[in-house]
Amino acid sequence: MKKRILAGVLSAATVLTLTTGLTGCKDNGAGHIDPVFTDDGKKLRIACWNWEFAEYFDAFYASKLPEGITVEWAQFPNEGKNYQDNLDRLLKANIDAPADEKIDIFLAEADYIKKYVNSDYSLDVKSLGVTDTTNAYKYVLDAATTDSGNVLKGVSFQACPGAVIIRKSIAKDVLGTDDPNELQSKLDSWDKFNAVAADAKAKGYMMTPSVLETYRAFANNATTSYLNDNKFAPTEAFNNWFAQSKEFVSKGYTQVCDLWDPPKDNQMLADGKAMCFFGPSWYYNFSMGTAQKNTNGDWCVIQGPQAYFWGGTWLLAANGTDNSSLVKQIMNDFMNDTELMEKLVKGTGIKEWKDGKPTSADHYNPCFANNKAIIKKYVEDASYGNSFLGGQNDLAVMTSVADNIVWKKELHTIYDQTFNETLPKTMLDFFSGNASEEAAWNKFYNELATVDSKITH
Amino acid sequence: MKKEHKLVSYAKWGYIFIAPFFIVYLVFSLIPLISTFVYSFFEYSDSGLSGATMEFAGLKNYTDLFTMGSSYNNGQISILSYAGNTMIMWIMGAVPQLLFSLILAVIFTSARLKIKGQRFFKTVIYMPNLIMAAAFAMLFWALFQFGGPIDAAFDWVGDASQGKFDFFKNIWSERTLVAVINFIMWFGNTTILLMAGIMGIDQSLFEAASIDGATSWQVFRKVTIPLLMPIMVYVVITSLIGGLQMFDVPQILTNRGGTLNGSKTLIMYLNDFVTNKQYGVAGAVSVLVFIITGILSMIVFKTMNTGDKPKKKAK
Repeated sequence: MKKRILAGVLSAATVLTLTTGLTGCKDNGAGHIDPVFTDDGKKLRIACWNWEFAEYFDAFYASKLPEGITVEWAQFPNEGKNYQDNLDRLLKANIDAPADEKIDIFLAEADYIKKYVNSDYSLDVKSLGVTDTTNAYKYVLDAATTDSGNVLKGVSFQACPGAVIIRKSIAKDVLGTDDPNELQSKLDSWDKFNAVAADAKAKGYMMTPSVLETYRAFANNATTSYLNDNKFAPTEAFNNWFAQSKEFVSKGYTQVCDLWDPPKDNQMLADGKAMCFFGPSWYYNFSMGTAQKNTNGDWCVIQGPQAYFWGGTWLLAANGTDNSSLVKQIMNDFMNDTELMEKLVKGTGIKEWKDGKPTSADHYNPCFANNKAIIKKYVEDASYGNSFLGGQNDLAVMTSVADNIVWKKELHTIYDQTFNETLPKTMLDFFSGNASEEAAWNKFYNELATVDSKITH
Repeated sequence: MKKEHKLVSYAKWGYIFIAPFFIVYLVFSLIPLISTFVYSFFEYSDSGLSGATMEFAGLKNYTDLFTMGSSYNNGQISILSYAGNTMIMWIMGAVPQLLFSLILAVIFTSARLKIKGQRFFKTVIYMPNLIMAAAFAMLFWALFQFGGPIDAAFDWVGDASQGKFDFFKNIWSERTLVAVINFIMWFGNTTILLMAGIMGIDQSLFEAASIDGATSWQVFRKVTIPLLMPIMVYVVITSLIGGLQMFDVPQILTNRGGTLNGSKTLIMYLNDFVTNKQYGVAGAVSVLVFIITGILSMIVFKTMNTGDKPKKKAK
């Protein structure tokens, strides 16, 4: 009798599981989701992974919002696809979500914008009324345009041309100059860059603060995709980076650590030994806090060996938004509002942070605004200078990089973030001397198998 | 007639009172358990925005698991090497822990020594278990990271230019740290279990042994150990089951597996599949862990039920 009851319960549970499990994936089809937007919402919800945009929004926009509108940030850390997973969940439920829980705007970065742009969960921003894109950099628009049909799905307040950020006092010692133009002529190709690394070493310095420093400069200049028909193969760009890094590590031109590790951060201190940091304007204005506090002014930017981009924050309108006119207004203003864009470019210096939140709303870092007219104005303005860069007009350098960036749609896949995070990190085991090259690759292939069993190599 | 009616009504209330447990168990344990089994036979993955796909795949997930790695990992099958890591780290933590706890338990229960302040010591050694494993791992990471306090404390040892030792760039130092954390967290618990076991032994046996002139070592070897066997088996197997489920400490300490995944455990492997929404394969890993755990539990069950046997032998 007991057994019969047990058997009954088990089989009932099995049936329940099967039915719930199978109904759970009814929405898997290639069904098209129609765009839905209304304009009666009282709460503006913005999904983000850090506070960069929130900082600008609070400083420039919070006071301009229509009466009765409150803003809520749905923030999820970026690392390991965490933000994407949470965003996917919210977007799928967005059309049917209660008014106060609807996402209106969501932010996306270069590593995964493709996935959202080509989905039905983002809206055609032109249909919302965002039509004037004449001042935006081309690659920024291309990144937010659908693969087929040429539909613009997002805009950005910034462009992220990558530069080489040089510690002037070290450059002076190694190359005898700290003039950006002269430095550029001595570092305008990878061959020159590698040769200077030897000089830096001879004087007791390191060329770069981390072995992964130059990864983006190579990887974002790839000419082929690392994934063809679900088969993985390292690109030529990756192999070039790998060869350079191998040489740098073996000769002591750099140190083995991750991009965001404390040993790299320590290189921004007064006694730091690293000469060349790689990053776009958000990197030196937003992420180099240690340097801003300790070595402010001892830096300059140059174009470096190769134009590249890294990261970027795009604003996309979520399908199902109930604040469509406000979304349109924000997108337009954060691209075309002259006064706002000028404030973005100028900044007010270093922003202080505590417990992951800004301590003062009126302070904000300068930013490379996505508005060619404004940038041009400040390139020509002799009184403009970035104080962190010792008064250098960084915009002149960055705008020429930005013009040269080409967004190659066909090279991007939905796995970009996983690859760009995992692949270089896995190689750290090899660079640190704890594993053979083969063993490091094996570790990566193991990771690959857990990402998607359909990917082979 | 009236009496009978009352009896039936009591029984009904009994069922009503225990119902909440069974409902909660059914919804939050049994159904997920069975769904895990079911999913393990499906090719079931969720690619985020484009939605989930679920197709019956038979034993494909299981055969996949036992081939993954074989073509590139020097023939080493991934799941087996992760199972190996789990066992290595468990043994590194559990064996010293068992010996240490046994010594502590014998000292604390010794009628001859009569340690004072027992309650205090018992509380202190149990304390680490109250701290969250994740917090423990974070603490150790902060202490042992490159450029951290431990690193700084050993600055004077050797020549810094030769390169300092980085605890998190070496498989064995990572594994050792995991083992040490598990040791600190669990030795108090083990000590208390073993003490309970020793105190459960008939005191007259110890007295008889000392009257016969047995030394402490002889008492320990010939009386304590044999009579403690059932509890020992219980402790070892429950620790093994806990060890198989080792996850939070290595996950946080080594940032998802450490150098060459040398500290990646079975459950961390499972977690990789879950975070990548490969629910089918994840289900298969779970089922395998479930089967191993089930077998181990059966061993405990059997030894506990025949727990009287060693006692008779000792007599």
